[in-house]
Amino acid sequence: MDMDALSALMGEDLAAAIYADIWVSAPDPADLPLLGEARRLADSLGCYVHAVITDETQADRVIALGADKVHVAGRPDEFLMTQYPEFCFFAVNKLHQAARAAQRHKAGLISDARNLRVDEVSRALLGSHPVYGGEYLLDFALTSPAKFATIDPRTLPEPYADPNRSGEVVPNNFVAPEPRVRDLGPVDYTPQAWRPLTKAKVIVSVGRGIRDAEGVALAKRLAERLGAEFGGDRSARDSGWVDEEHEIGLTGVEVAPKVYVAVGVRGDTVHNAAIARAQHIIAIYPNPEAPIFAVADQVVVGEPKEVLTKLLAMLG
Amino acid sequence: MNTLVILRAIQDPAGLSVNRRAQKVFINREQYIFNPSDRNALEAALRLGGEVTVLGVGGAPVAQVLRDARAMGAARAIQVTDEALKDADALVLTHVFKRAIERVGGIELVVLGAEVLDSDGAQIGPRLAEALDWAFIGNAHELKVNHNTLTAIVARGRAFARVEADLPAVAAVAPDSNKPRYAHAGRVISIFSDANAVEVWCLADLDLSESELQPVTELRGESFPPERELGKRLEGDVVAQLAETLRRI
Repeated sequence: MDMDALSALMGEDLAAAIYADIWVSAPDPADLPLLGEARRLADSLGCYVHAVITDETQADRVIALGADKVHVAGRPDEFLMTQYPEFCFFAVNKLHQAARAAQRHKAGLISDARNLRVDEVSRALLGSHPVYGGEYLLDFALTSPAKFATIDPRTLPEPYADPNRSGEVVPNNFVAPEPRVRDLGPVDYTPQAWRPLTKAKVIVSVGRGIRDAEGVALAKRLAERLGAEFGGDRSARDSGWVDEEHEIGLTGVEVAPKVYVAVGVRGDTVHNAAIARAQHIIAIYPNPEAPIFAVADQVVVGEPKEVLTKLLAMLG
Repeated sequence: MNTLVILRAIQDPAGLSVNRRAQKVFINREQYIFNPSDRNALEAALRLGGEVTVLGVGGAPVAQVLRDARAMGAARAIQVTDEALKDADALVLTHVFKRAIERVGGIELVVLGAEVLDSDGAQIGPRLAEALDWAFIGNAHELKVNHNTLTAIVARGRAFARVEADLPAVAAVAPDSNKPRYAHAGRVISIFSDANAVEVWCLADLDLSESELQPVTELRGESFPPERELGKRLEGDVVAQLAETLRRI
Protein backbone atom coordinates (compact mmCIF):
# COMPACT_ATOMS: atom_id res chain seq x y z
CA MET A 1 0.00 0.00 0.00
CA ASP A 2 1.47 3.38 -0.81
CA MET A 3 1.46 6.57 1.18
CA ASP A 4 -1.63 8.05 -0.51
CA ALA A 5 -3.76 5.01 0.20
CA LEU A 6 -2.55 4.88 3.79
CA SER A 7 -3.26 8.56 4.34
CA ALA A 8 -6.74 8.16 2.94
CA LEU A 9 -7.35 5.20 5.22
CA MET A 10 -6.02 6.50 8.52
CA GLY A 11 -5.15 10.18 8.22
CA GLU A 12 -1.76 11.67 7.53
CA ASP A 13 -0.34 11.63 11.08
CA LEU A 14 -1.04 7.97 11.69
CA ALA A 15 0.23 7.04 8.26
CA ALA A 16 3.48 8.86 9.02
CA ALA A 17 3.81 7.02 12.33
CA ILE A 18 3.96 3.68 10.54
CA TYR A 19 7.37 4.62 9.18
CA ALA A 20 10.01 3.40 11.61
CA ASP A 21 13.65 2.46 12.01
CA ILE A 22 16.71 2.79 9.83
CA TRP A 23 16.91 0.53 6.78
CA VAL A 24 20.06 -0.13 4.82
CA SER A 25 20.19 -1.64 1.35
CA ALA A 26 23.46 -3.60 1.30
CA PRO A 27 23.51 -6.04 -1.62
CA ASP A 28 27.26 -5.61 -2.26
CA PRO A 29 30.11 -6.23 0.20
CA ALA A 30 31.33 -2.71 -0.67
CA ASP A 31 28.09 -1.29 0.81
CA LEU A 32 28.75 -2.67 4.31
CA PRO A 33 30.26 0.53 5.81
CA LEU A 34 26.72 1.98 5.54
CA LEU A 35 25.76 -0.28 8.45
CA GLY A 36 28.23 1.50 10.72
CA GLU A 37 26.66 4.84 9.80
CA ALA A 38 23.15 3.47 10.38
CA ARG A 39 24.21 2.01 13.75
CA ARG A 40 25.62 5.37 14.84
CA LEU A 41 22.33 7.15 14.07
CA ALA A 42 20.20 4.33 15.51
CA ASP A 43 22.06 4.43 18.82
CA SER A 44 21.31 8.13 19.22
CA LEU A 45 17.66 7.70 18.16
CA GLY A 46 17.03 4.41 19.97
CA CYS A 47 15.66 2.51 17.01
CA TYR A 48 16.45 -0.67 15.08
CA VAL A 49 18.72 -1.10 12.09
CA HIS A 50 17.35 -3.30 9.31
CA ALA A 51 19.69 -4.61 6.64
CA VAL A 52 18.34 -5.73 3.27
CA ILE A 53 20.73 -8.12 1.58
CA THR A 54 20.60 -10.47 -1.39
CA ASP A 55 22.85 -13.23 -0.08
CA GLU A 56 21.65 -15.07 3.01
CA THR A 57 25.18 -16.21 3.93
CA GLN A 58 26.04 -12.56 4.69
CA ALA A 59 23.45 -12.38 7.51
CA ASP A 60 25.91 -13.04 10.37
CA ARG A 61 28.29 -10.49 8.98
CA VAL A 62 25.70 -7.69 8.77
CA ILE A 63 24.47 -8.52 12.28
CA ALA A 64 28.03 -8.25 13.59
CA LEU A 65 28.34 -4.89 11.84
CA GLY A 66 25.25 -3.45 13.50
CA ALA A 67 22.02 -4.82 11.98
CA ASP A 68 19.26 -5.87 14.37
CA LYS A 69 17.03 -7.35 11.70
CA VAL A 70 18.07 -8.86 8.40
CA HIS A 71 15.87 -9.26 5.35
CA VAL A 72 16.92 -11.32 2.36
CA ALA A 73 15.36 -10.14 -0.89
CA GLY A 74 16.35 -10.50 -4.52
CA ARG A 75 15.92 -6.81 -5.27
CA PRO A 76 16.38 -4.61 -2.19
CA ASP A 77 14.86 -1.53 -3.83
CA GLU A 78 11.66 -3.35 -4.79
CA PHE A 79 11.52 -4.94 -1.33
CA LEU A 80 11.91 -1.54 0.34
CA MET A 81 8.94 -0.24 -1.62
CA THR A 82 6.82 -2.71 0.34
CA GLN A 83 8.23 -1.70 3.74
CA TYR A 84 7.90 1.48 5.84
CA PRO A 85 11.41 2.80 6.51
CA GLU A 86 11.68 6.06 8.45
CA PHE A 87 15.28 6.42 7.27
CA CYS A 88 16.63 4.49 4.33
CA PHE A 89 20.21 4.38 3.04
CA PHE A 90 21.62 3.14 -0.26
CA ALA A 91 25.18 3.18 -1.57
CA VAL A 92 25.89 6.15 -3.82
CA ASN A 93 26.18 4.00 -6.96
CA LYS A 94 22.59 2.81 -6.51
CA LEU A 95 21.02 6.25 -6.87
CA HIS A 96 18.41 5.08 -9.34
CA GLN A 97 17.18 2.34 -7.00
CA ALA A 98 17.08 4.77 -4.08
CA ALA A 99 15.28 7.44 -6.11
CA ARG A 100 12.63 5.02 -7.38
CA ALA A 101 11.94 3.75 -3.86
CA ALA A 102 11.88 7.34 -2.53
CA GLN A 103 9.38 8.37 -5.17
CA ARG A 104 7.15 5.41 -4.26
CA HIS A 105 7.17 6.56 -0.63
CA LYS A 106 6.71 10.25 -1.62
CA ALA A 107 9.97 10.76 0.25
CA GLY A 108 12.81 13.22 0.09
CA LEU A 109 16.25 12.00 -0.94
CA ILE A 110 19.70 13.47 -0.42
CA SER A 111 22.12 11.91 -2.87
CA ASP A 112 25.83 11.52 -2.15
CA ALA A 113 24.97 12.75 1.35
CA ARG A 114 27.65 14.01 3.73
CA ASN A 115 27.46 14.82 7.41
CA LEU A 116 24.16 13.00 8.03
CA ARG A 117 22.33 13.58 11.30
CA VAL A 118 18.79 13.54 12.62
CA ASP A 119 16.94 16.39 14.29
CA GLU A 120 15.61 14.50 17.28
CA VAL A 121 12.60 16.76 17.79
CA SER A 122 11.23 16.99 14.26
CA ARG A 123 12.86 13.68 13.13
CA ALA A 124 14.06 15.51 10.02
CA LEU A 125 17.09 14.02 8.28
CA LEU A 126 19.82 16.61 7.78
CA GLY A 127 22.65 16.22 5.31
CA SER A 128 24.68 17.94 2.63
CA HIS A 129 24.98 17.30 -1.10
CA PRO A 130 28.09 18.47 -3.01
CA VAL A 131 27.52 20.70 -6.07
CA TYR A 132 29.75 21.96 -8.88
CA GLY A 133 31.99 18.91 -8.54
CA GLY A 134 32.46 19.42 -4.79
CA GLU A 135 33.24 23.16 -4.80
CA TYR A 136 30.68 23.56 -2.03
CA LEU A 137 27.71 21.73 -0.51
CA LEU A 138 24.00 22.39 -0.17
CA ASP A 139 22.56 21.63 3.27
CA PHE A 140 19.16 19.94 3.16
CA ALA A 141 16.55 18.90 5.70
CA LEU A 142 14.10 16.14 4.74
CA THR A 143 10.69 16.35 6.35
CA SER A 144 8.73 13.52 4.68
CA PRO A 145 7.64 10.48 6.76
CA ALA A 146 10.27 8.39 4.96
CA LYS A 147 13.68 9.92 4.36
CA PHE A 148 16.21 8.55 1.89
CA ALA A 149 19.91 9.14 1.39
CA THR A 150 22.62 7.68 -0.78
CA ILE A 151 26.04 7.57 0.84
CA ASP A 152 29.48 6.90 -0.61
CA PRO A 153 30.73 3.94 1.47
CA ARG A 154 34.32 4.91 0.70
CA THR A 155 33.92 8.10 2.74
CA LEU A 156 32.88 6.11 5.83
CA PRO A 157 35.20 4.45 8.33
CA GLU A 158 35.46 0.67 8.34
CA PRO A 159 32.56 -0.37 10.64
CA TYR A 160 33.29 -2.07 13.91
CA ALA A 161 32.35 -5.76 13.82
CA ASP A 162 31.18 -7.34 17.06
CA PRO A 163 30.77 -11.12 16.60
CA ASN A 164 28.74 -11.31 19.83
CA ARG A 165 26.01 -8.97 18.64
CA SER A 166 22.63 -10.60 18.26
CA GLY A 167 20.09 -10.05 15.55
CA GLU A 168 17.50 -12.01 13.64
CA VAL A 169 16.79 -12.90 10.08
CA VAL A 170 13.21 -11.87 9.41
CA PRO A 171 11.63 -14.24 6.89
CA ASN A 172 9.63 -12.72 4.06
CA ASN A 173 7.68 -14.07 1.15
CA PHE A 174 8.66 -11.24 -1.14
CA VAL A 175 8.97 -12.16 -4.79
CA ALA A 176 11.02 -9.66 -6.75
CA PRO A 177 9.37 -8.57 -10.00
CA GLU A 178 11.23 -9.13 -13.25
CA PRO A 179 13.48 -6.14 -14.00
CA ARG A 180 12.25 -4.01 -16.86
CA VAL A 181 15.73 -3.37 -18.15
CA ARG A 182 17.37 -6.42 -19.68
CA ASP A 183 21.13 -6.81 -19.50
CA LEU A 184 22.71 -7.88 -22.78
CA GLY A 185 26.25 -8.16 -21.42
CA PRO A 186 29.47 -6.16 -21.63
CA VAL A 187 30.54 -4.35 -24.81
CA ASP A 188 33.77 -2.86 -26.01
CA TYR A 189 33.04 0.81 -26.43
CA THR A 190 34.91 4.11 -26.51
CA PRO A 191 32.76 7.22 -26.05
CA GLN A 192 33.01 9.65 -28.96
CA ALA A 193 33.58 12.85 -27.07
CA TRP A 194 36.11 11.36 -24.70
CA ARG A 195 38.33 14.13 -23.41
CA PRO A 196 40.30 12.15 -20.89
CA LEU A 197 42.39 14.83 -19.25
CA THR A 198 40.16 17.89 -19.13
CA LYS A 199 37.27 15.89 -17.66
CA ALA A 200 39.24 13.39 -15.58
CA LYS A 201 38.37 13.03 -11.90
CA VAL A 202 41.81 11.67 -11.00
CA ILE A 203 45.07 12.33 -12.83
CA VAL A 204 48.56 10.94 -12.33
CA SER A 205 51.18 13.07 -14.06
CA VAL A 206 54.92 12.76 -14.49
CA GLY A 207 57.84 15.11 -15.07
CA ARG A 208 61.54 14.78 -15.55
CA GLY A 209 62.04 14.21 -11.82
CA ILE A 210 60.87 10.65 -12.36
CA ARG A 211 64.23 10.10 -14.12
CA ASP A 212 63.58 7.34 -16.66
CA ALA A 213 61.15 5.07 -18.48
CA GLU A 214 61.11 2.65 -15.58
CA GLY A 215 59.74 5.38 -13.33
CA VAL A 216 57.16 6.31 -15.98
CA ALA A 217 56.01 2.69 -16.08
CA LEU A 218 55.51 2.76 -12.30
CA ALA A 219 53.46 5.95 -12.55
CA LYS A 220 51.34 4.38 -15.29
CA ARG A 221 50.72 1.40 -13.04
CA LEU A 222 49.56 3.76 -10.28
CA ALA A 223 47.21 5.48 -12.75
CA GLU A 224 45.77 2.13 -13.75
CA ARG A 225 45.36 1.07 -10.13
CA LEU A 226 43.49 4.31 -9.30
CA GLY A 227 41.42 4.35 -12.48
CA ALA A 228 43.12 7.65 -13.23
CA GLU A 229 44.13 9.32 -16.48
CA PHE A 230 47.81 9.70 -17.22
CA GLY A 231 49.60 12.88 -18.26
CA GLY A 232 52.83 14.79 -17.96
CA ASP A 233 54.31 18.27 -17.96
CA ARG A 234 56.34 19.95 -20.69
CA SER A 235 59.51 18.09 -19.68
CA ALA A 236 57.70 14.76 -19.94
CA ARG A 237 56.57 15.64 -23.44
CA ASP A 238 60.10 16.68 -24.40
CA SER A 239 61.31 13.32 -23.08
CA GLY A 240 58.74 11.56 -25.26
CA TRP A 241 56.76 10.10 -22.35
CA VAL A 242 53.48 11.80 -23.23
CA ASP A 243 52.04 13.27 -26.42
CA GLU A 244 50.71 16.76 -26.98
CA GLU A 245 47.16 15.86 -25.93
CA HIS A 246 48.43 14.62 -22.57
CA GLU A 247 50.66 17.55 -21.79
CA ILE A 248 49.39 19.43 -18.76
CA GLY A 249 50.27 23.09 -18.81
CA LEU A 250 49.26 26.31 -20.48
CA THR A 251 50.85 25.03 -23.71
CA GLY A 252 48.91 21.77 -23.39
CA VAL A 253 45.65 21.17 -21.56
CA GLU A 254 44.24 22.70 -18.39
CA VAL A 255 42.72 20.25 -15.94
CA ALA A 256 40.36 20.31 -12.95
CA PRO A 257 40.42 16.88 -11.31
CA LYS A 258 39.35 15.99 -7.80
CA VAL A 259 42.77 14.52 -7.10
CA TYR A 260 45.96 15.32 -8.96
CA VAL A 261 49.05 13.23 -8.26
CA ALA A 262 52.24 14.89 -9.54
CA VAL A 263 55.16 12.48 -9.58
CA GLY A 264 58.54 14.02 -10.32
CA VAL A 265 56.88 17.18 -11.61
CA ARG A 266 58.90 20.25 -10.63
CA GLY A 267 55.95 22.60 -11.00
CA ASP A 268 56.84 25.45 -13.33
CA THR A 269 54.45 28.38 -13.50
CA VAL A 270 52.89 27.19 -16.77
CA HIS A 271 52.21 23.80 -15.22
CA ASN A 272 50.90 25.06 -11.88
CA ALA A 273 48.55 27.54 -13.55
CA ALA A 274 47.00 24.69 -15.53
CA ILE A 275 46.19 22.69 -12.37
CA ALA A 276 44.83 25.64 -10.36
CA ARG A 277 41.32 24.17 -10.37
CA ALA A 278 42.36 20.78 -8.99
CA GLN A 279 40.76 20.14 -5.62
CA HIS A 280 43.48 18.08 -4.01
CA ILE A 281 47.10 17.92 -5.14
CA ILE A 282 49.64 15.34 -4.06
CA ALA A 283 53.26 16.07 -5.03
CA ILE A 284 56.23 13.72 -4.88
CA TYR A 285 59.58 15.31 -5.75
CA PRO A 286 63.17 14.87 -4.55
CA ASN A 287 64.05 18.54 -4.12
CA PRO A 288 62.29 20.26 -1.16
CA GLU A 289 62.57 23.64 -2.93
CA ALA A 290 60.47 22.56 -5.95
CA PRO A 291 57.70 25.07 -6.79
CA ILE A 292 55.12 22.27 -7.08
CA PHE A 293 55.12 22.02 -3.27
CA ALA A 294 53.71 25.56 -2.92
CA VAL A 295 50.44 24.47 -4.56
CA ALA A 296 50.22 20.91 -3.16
CA ASP A 297 48.02 19.72 -0.30
CA GLN A 298 50.21 16.73 0.47
CA VAL A 299 53.93 17.03 -0.01
CA VAL A 300 56.34 14.09 -0.11
CA VAL A 301 60.02 14.88 -0.43
CA GLY A 302 61.65 11.77 -1.80
CA GLU A 303 62.82 9.81 -4.78
CA PRO A 304 59.65 9.29 -6.90
CA LYS A 305 60.52 5.76 -7.96
CA GLU A 306 61.04 4.57 -4.39
CA VAL A 307 57.84 6.20 -3.15
CA LEU A 308 55.84 4.75 -6.06
CA THR A 309 57.18 1.24 -5.52
CA LYS A 310 56.20 1.29 -1.84
CA LEU A 311 52.85 2.94 -2.59
CA LEU A 312 51.93 0.34 -5.23
CA ALA A 313 52.86 -2.45 -2.81
CA MET A 314 50.66 -0.91 -0.13
CA LEU A 315 47.67 -0.34 -2.44
CA GLY A 316 47.92 -3.95 -3.59
CA MET B 1 8.83 8.45 -32.46
CA ASN B 2 8.13 11.29 -30.00
CA THR B 3 10.91 12.13 -27.60
CA LEU B 4 10.87 14.67 -24.80
CA VAL B 5 14.04 16.11 -23.33
CA ILE B 6 14.13 17.72 -19.90
CA LEU B 7 16.50 20.69 -19.80
CA ARG B 8 17.86 22.57 -16.83
CA ALA B 9 19.77 25.84 -16.76
CA ILE B 10 22.62 26.35 -14.33
CA GLN B 11 24.82 29.25 -13.37
CA ASP B 12 27.97 28.98 -15.49
CA PRO B 13 30.71 27.66 -13.18
CA ALA B 14 33.20 29.93 -14.97
CA GLY B 15 31.36 32.93 -13.47
CA LEU B 16 31.35 31.55 -9.96
CA SER B 17 33.99 31.45 -7.29
CA VAL B 18 33.93 29.80 -3.90
CA ASN B 19 35.75 31.31 -0.97
CA ARG B 20 36.16 28.63 1.66
CA ARG B 21 37.60 31.02 4.23
CA ALA B 22 34.70 33.47 3.95
CA GLN B 23 32.26 30.53 3.59
CA LYS B 24 30.66 32.25 0.63
CA VAL B 25 29.83 31.61 -2.99
CA PHE B 26 30.47 34.64 -5.17
CA ILE B 27 28.73 34.99 -8.50
CA ASN B 28 31.08 37.25 -10.44
CA ARG B 29 29.23 37.05 -13.68
CA GLU B 30 25.61 35.94 -13.79
CA GLN B 31 25.36 33.80 -16.87
CA TYR B 32 23.35 30.67 -17.45
CA ILE B 33 24.23 27.65 -19.52
CA PHE B 34 22.74 24.24 -20.23
CA ASN B 35 23.32 21.80 -17.44
CA PRO B 36 26.15 20.02 -19.31
CA SER B 37 24.75 16.51 -19.44
CA ASP B 38 21.30 17.81 -20.48
CA ARG B 39 22.99 19.09 -23.62
CA ASN B 40 24.29 15.56 -24.26
CA ALA B 41 20.76 14.29 -23.63
CA LEU B 42 19.36 16.68 -26.24
CA GLU B 43 21.99 15.59 -28.74
CA ALA B 44 21.20 11.91 -28.11
CA ALA B 45 17.49 12.61 -28.64
CA LEU B 46 18.07 14.59 -31.85
CA ARG B 47 20.19 11.72 -33.23
CA LEU B 48 17.30 9.31 -32.70
CA GLY B 49 15.24 11.30 -35.17
CA GLY B 50 11.51 11.89 -34.87
CA GLU B 51 9.96 14.85 -33.14
CA VAL B 52 11.85 16.22 -30.14
CA THR B 53 10.07 18.35 -27.55
CA VAL B 54 12.07 20.12 -24.86
CA LEU B 55 10.69 20.91 -21.43
CA GLY B 56 12.05 23.06 -18.63
CA VAL B 57 10.83 24.44 -15.32
CA GLY B 58 11.87 27.91 -14.19
CA GLY B 59 12.21 31.52 -15.23
CA ALA B 60 14.26 33.45 -17.77
CA PRO B 61 17.42 31.25 -17.61
CA VAL B 62 15.53 28.12 -18.60
CA ALA B 63 13.64 30.00 -21.34
CA GLN B 64 17.00 30.92 -22.82
CA VAL B 65 18.18 27.31 -22.75
CA LEU B 66 14.90 26.15 -24.34
CA ARG B 67 15.38 28.64 -27.18
CA ASP B 68 18.92 27.38 -27.71
CA ALA B 69 17.52 23.87 -27.85
CA ARG B 70 15.03 24.89 -30.54
CA ALA B 71 17.87 26.44 -32.52
CA MET B 72 19.70 23.11 -32.22
CA GLY B 73 16.73 21.31 -33.75
CA ALA B 74 14.02 20.68 -31.17
CA ALA B 75 10.58 20.98 -32.76
CA ARG B 76 8.73 22.30 -29.73
CA ALA B 77 9.70 23.91 -26.44
CA ILE B 78 7.63 24.19 -23.27
CA GLN B 79 8.52 26.30 -20.26
CA VAL B 80 6.61 25.69 -17.05
CA THR B 81 6.93 28.74 -14.89
CA ASP B 82 5.10 29.72 -11.73
CA GLU B 83 5.96 31.66 -8.62
CA ALA B 84 4.68 28.72 -6.56
CA LEU B 85 7.48 26.51 -7.92
CA LYS B 86 10.27 28.59 -6.43
CA ASP B 87 10.80 26.11 -3.56
CA ALA B 88 10.07 23.00 -5.59
CA ASP B 89 12.19 19.99 -4.68
CA ALA B 90 12.85 16.80 -6.65
CA LEU B 91 9.54 15.27 -5.54
CA VAL B 92 7.49 18.28 -6.67
CA LEU B 93 9.46 18.70 -9.90
CA THR B 94 8.84 15.04 -10.68
CA HIS B 95 5.10 15.60 -10.34
CA VAL B 96 5.31 18.71 -12.55
CA PHE B 97 7.33 16.92 -15.24
CA LYS B 98 5.03 13.90 -15.15
CA ARG B 99 1.90 15.99 -15.61
CA ALA B 100 3.50 18.10 -18.34
CA ILE B 101 4.54 14.92 -20.20
CA GLU B 102 1.00 13.61 -19.94
CA ARG B 103 -0.34 16.92 -21.21
CA VAL B 104 2.00 16.92 -24.21
CA GLY B 105 0.75 13.40 -24.94
CA GLY B 106 2.15 10.66 -27.15
CA ILE B 107 5.66 10.76 -25.64
CA GLU B 108 7.39 7.38 -25.79
CA LEU B 109 10.83 8.33 -24.53
CA VAL B 110 12.01 10.91 -22.00
CA VAL B 111 15.70 11.78 -22.05
CA LEU B 112 17.60 13.91 -19.55
CA GLY B 113 21.11 14.42 -18.24
CA ALA B 114 22.46 11.94 -15.71
CA GLU B 115 24.17 14.64 -13.66
CA VAL B 116 23.03 18.04 -12.48
CA LEU B 117 25.87 20.35 -11.51
CA ASP B 118 24.12 22.86 -9.28
CA SER B 119 21.54 20.84 -7.34
CA ASP B 120 20.54 17.39 -6.17
CA GLY B 121 18.73 16.84 -9.47
CA ALA B 122 20.21 13.56 -10.71
CA GLN B 123 17.45 11.76 -8.82
CA ILE B 124 14.73 13.21 -11.06
CA GLY B 125 15.20 10.70 -13.91
CA PRO B 126 14.58 7.55 -11.85
CA ARG B 127 11.86 9.31 -9.84
CA LEU B 128 10.07 10.24 -13.05
CA ALA B 129 10.31 6.67 -14.35
CA GLU B 130 8.73 5.45 -11.13
CA ALA B 131 6.00 8.12 -11.21
CA LEU B 132 5.15 7.31 -14.84
CA ASP B 133 5.62 3.57 -14.22
CA TRP B 134 8.09 3.38 -17.11
CA ALA B 135 11.45 1.62 -17.45
CA PHE B 136 14.58 3.57 -16.49
CA ILE B 137 18.04 3.36 -18.03
CA GLY B 138 20.77 5.36 -16.29
CA ASN B 139 24.23 6.51 -17.36
CA ALA B 140 23.47 5.91 -21.03
CA HIS B 141 26.13 6.63 -23.64
CA GLU B 142 24.37 5.73 -26.86
CA LEU B 143 20.65 5.32 -27.47
CA LYS B 144 19.01 3.36 -30.26
CA VAL B 145 15.35 2.70 -30.85
CA ASN B 146 14.21 -0.29 -32.82
CA HIS B 147 10.43 -0.67 -33.17
CA ASN B 148 9.32 -0.62 -29.57
CA THR B 149 12.65 -1.34 -27.91
CA LEU B 150 15.21 1.09 -26.55
CA THR B 151 18.80 -0.17 -26.56
CA ALA B 152 21.55 1.69 -24.76
CA ILE B 153 25.21 1.39 -23.97
CA VAL B 154 25.65 2.16 -20.30
CA ALA B 155 28.73 2.87 -18.21
CA ARG B 156 29.46 0.48 -15.35
CA GLY B 157 32.46 1.96 -13.62
CA ARG B 158 35.03 2.18 -16.40
CA ALA B 159 33.53 -0.62 -18.48
CA PHE B 160 30.46 -0.60 -20.70
CA ALA B 161 27.48 -2.89 -21.10
CA ARG B 162 24.50 -3.05 -23.44
CA VAL B 163 20.99 -3.00 -22.00
CA GLU B 164 17.52 -2.84 -23.49
CA ALA B 165 14.03 -1.96 -22.33
CA ASP B 166 10.60 -1.72 -23.89
CA LEU B 167 9.20 1.74 -24.53
CA PRO B 168 7.94 3.91 -22.97
CA ALA B 169 11.10 4.60 -21.01
CA VAL B 170 13.15 7.27 -19.30
CA ALA B 171 16.89 7.43 -20.11
CA ALA B 172 19.52 9.48 -18.30
CA VAL B 173 22.43 10.37 -20.57
CA ALA B 174 25.98 10.49 -19.18
CA PRO B 175 27.98 13.71 -19.44
CA ASP B 176 30.46 13.82 -22.35
CA SER B 177 28.83 10.81 -23.98
CA ASN B 178 28.52 12.61 -27.31
CA LYS B 179 29.52 15.83 -29.00
CA PRO B 180 26.52 18.17 -29.00
CA ARG B 181 25.89 19.93 -32.31
CA TYR B 182 26.05 23.70 -32.73
CA ALA B 183 22.85 25.58 -33.31
CA HIS B 184 22.09 26.25 -36.95
CA ALA B 185 22.74 29.94 -37.66
CA GLY B 186 19.58 30.42 -39.69
CA ARG B 187 17.49 28.76 -37.01
CA VAL B 188 19.08 30.93 -34.31
CA ILE B 189 17.86 34.05 -36.07
CA SER B 190 14.38 32.75 -36.77
CA ILE B 191 13.91 31.26 -33.29
CA PHE B 192 15.17 34.35 -31.50
CA SER B 193 12.94 36.65 -33.51
CA ASP B 194 9.93 34.42 -32.88
CA ALA B 195 8.19 35.50 -29.69
CA ASN B 196 6.32 32.17 -29.58
CA ALA B 197 9.32 29.88 -29.94
CA VAL B 198 8.78 28.72 -26.37
CA GLU B 199 5.30 27.91 -25.12
CA VAL B 200 4.75 29.08 -21.57
CA TRP B 201 2.62 27.01 -19.22
CA CYS B 202 1.73 27.83 -15.66
CA LEU B 203 0.73 25.50 -12.85
CA ALA B 204 -2.96 26.00 -13.51
CA ASP B 205 -2.45 24.28 -16.88
CA LEU B 206 -1.19 21.15 -15.16
CA ASP B 207 -3.97 20.50 -12.68
CA LEU B 208 -1.80 19.27 -9.81
CA SER B 209 -3.19 18.67 -6.34
CA GLU B 210 -1.97 20.61 -3.33
CA SER B 211 -0.23 17.57 -1.86
CA GLU B 212 1.66 16.99 -5.10
CA LEU B 213 3.03 20.53 -4.82
CA GLN B 214 4.16 20.15 -1.21
CA PRO B 215 7.97 19.96 -1.03
CA VAL B 216 9.57 17.64 1.52
CA THR B 217 13.11 18.93 1.09
CA GLU B 218 14.12 22.19 2.68
CA LEU B 219 17.29 24.00 1.64
CA ARG B 220 18.91 25.19 4.87
CA GLY B 221 22.04 26.81 3.50
CA GLU B 222 25.46 26.02 2.17
CA SER B 223 28.53 24.47 3.69
CA PHE B 224 32.10 24.35 2.54
CA PRO B 225 34.92 21.86 2.46
CA PRO B 226 37.73 22.68 4.88
CA GLU B 227 40.14 25.34 3.73
CA ARG B 228 43.14 23.95 1.89
CA GLU B 229 46.44 24.08 3.67
CA LEU B 230 49.06 24.11 0.94
CA GLY B 231 52.66 22.97 1.13
CA LYS B 232 52.02 20.57 4.00
CA ARG B 233 54.96 18.19 4.19
CA LEU B 234 53.96 14.69 5.29
CA GLU B 235 55.88 13.24 8.22
CA GLY B 236 56.21 9.69 9.52
CA ASP B 237 54.97 6.89 7.31
CA VAL B 238 54.30 9.08 4.28
CA VAL B 239 53.46 6.19 1.97
CA ALA B 240 50.72 4.94 4.30
CA GLN B 241 49.22 8.44 4.42
CA LEU B 242 49.23 8.69 0.63
CA ALA B 243 47.68 5.23 0.33
CA GLU B 244 44.93 6.30 2.74
CA THR B 245 44.11 9.38 0.65
CA LEU B 246 44.18 7.43 -2.59
CA ARG B 247 41.98 4.63 -1.28
CA ARG B 248 39.21 7.16 -0.68
CA ILE B 249 38.95 8.30 -4.28
